[in-house]
Amino acid sequence: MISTTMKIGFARRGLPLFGLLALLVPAHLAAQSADVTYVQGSVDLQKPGQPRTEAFIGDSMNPGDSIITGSDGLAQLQKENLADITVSQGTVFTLRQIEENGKKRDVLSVSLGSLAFKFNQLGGTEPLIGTTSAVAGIRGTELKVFAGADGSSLFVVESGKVQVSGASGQPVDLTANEGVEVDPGQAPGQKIKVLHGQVDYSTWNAQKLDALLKDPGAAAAKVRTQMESYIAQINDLWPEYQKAYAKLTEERQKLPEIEKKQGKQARTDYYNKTVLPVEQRARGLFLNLRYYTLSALSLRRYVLGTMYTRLTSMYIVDQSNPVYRGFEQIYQQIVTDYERSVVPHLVAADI
Amino acid sequence: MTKIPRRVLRTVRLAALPLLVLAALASCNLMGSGPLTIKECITDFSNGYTGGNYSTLYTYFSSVGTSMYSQIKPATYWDLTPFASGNGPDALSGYTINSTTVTGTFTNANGTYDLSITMEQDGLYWYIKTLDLTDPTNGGASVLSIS
Repeated sequence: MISTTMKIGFARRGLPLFGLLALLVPAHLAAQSADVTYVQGSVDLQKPGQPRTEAFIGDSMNPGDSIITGSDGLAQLQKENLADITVSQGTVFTLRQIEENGKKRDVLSVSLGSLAFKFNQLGGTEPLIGTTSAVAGIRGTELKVFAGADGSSLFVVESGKVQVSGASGQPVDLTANEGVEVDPGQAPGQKIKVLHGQVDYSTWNAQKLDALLKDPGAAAAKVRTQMESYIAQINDLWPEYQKAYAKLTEERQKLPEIEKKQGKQARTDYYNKTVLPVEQRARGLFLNLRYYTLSALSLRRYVLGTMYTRLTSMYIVDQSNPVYRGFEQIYQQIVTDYERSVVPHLVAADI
Repeated sequence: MTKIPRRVLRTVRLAALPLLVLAALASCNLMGSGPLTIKECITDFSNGYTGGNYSTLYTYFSSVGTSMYSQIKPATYWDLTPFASGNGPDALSGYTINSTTVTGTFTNANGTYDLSITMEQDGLYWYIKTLDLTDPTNGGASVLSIS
């Protein structure tokens, strides 16, 4: 039931992502942490609701936690001997979870910077790879993921198969030495041929940064589209969750009466057969709602926030410049939408 | 008054230093808060949900070993589990502790479930790493799994 919810949510935007992924990737993925196996330079670990601390070898990263590398930082993580993850400099990498078919599934999320992922066990249980603009389902894969200063992403496959989906349009299938770029809020672009080691994150991100500074309004508009996509998912899930919660409340209220009229065993039977599935569905919807809420928080904090800081510094003595004014106007719209639609779903510990 | 030789004083100071460090570390830990035994952790957790203190239940879980640690923080999550007040009154009974595993039964107004908990020690304190509720009358089907 829960995966159906996910399919509907994406299909409304022409993106039957999770339905397709269900065919590509084994359904079960146990919740697992990732352990830091190597750090170099500035590497921090951010746990939700806690101060950022320096990361050390042996630290564990759990869903909700972020690894943030500085301009000289590099971190390597191992995920339960199943995958090796290399987090390059200037990257914000967050481990998240969604729920599909009652099973929790990890999402390796890159808000900014680049990530190399190598899965060590063919036919095993791969997580999803997410950026602020796209999600990739993978199979037996060595994959590089770049997340740019303007919120765009670049997926480059070195081996295996990857299906990349953006906020709209059709997913794109990639095989070895192929790549695709996805702008925030957009469909994946055209596939490109990429030779091994040909793409350098710094060069790619410098181009993205140039484009951002040349037309900050256009970059902000794409982020707005992406934020709208997350908000749409939240808005789709919220009434479904409320409905499931109302149903749960209604069913729970019947229990004392059943016990009174038919006895204790009848109550137990009714709970197990009728109430428990409703309880589990509501819990799954809640978990998925939190996934999109926390994704929106990342977009706001790491992409839009960084953009705003960069442009405000750049135009600090020329804030009436029409280029800056155009950007700020869109920025304010995004912040307003975010505060209205996302913030109510956050809890203090998320911030 | 007898004068203590400087050499003796230096020896005493050197001997006292590790003791002072140990005392400081011990006082820091004692000033912290957390369950010092597995039984204390289970009792605190049990008191937490029977008292309806859902927003603090996650604090009895391991921030390192429990993958769902950030997911189970909101009080809303707990309202969607058999620990919710709507499913009460609750009782955790007859549990046994074997090394780091706790097994017992959890009973609420809707039934009795097998409870299995694994524990993890972080410094002086004990935390829940995983918690599973299964239905013995339905082939051990999962009712709740937090890992």
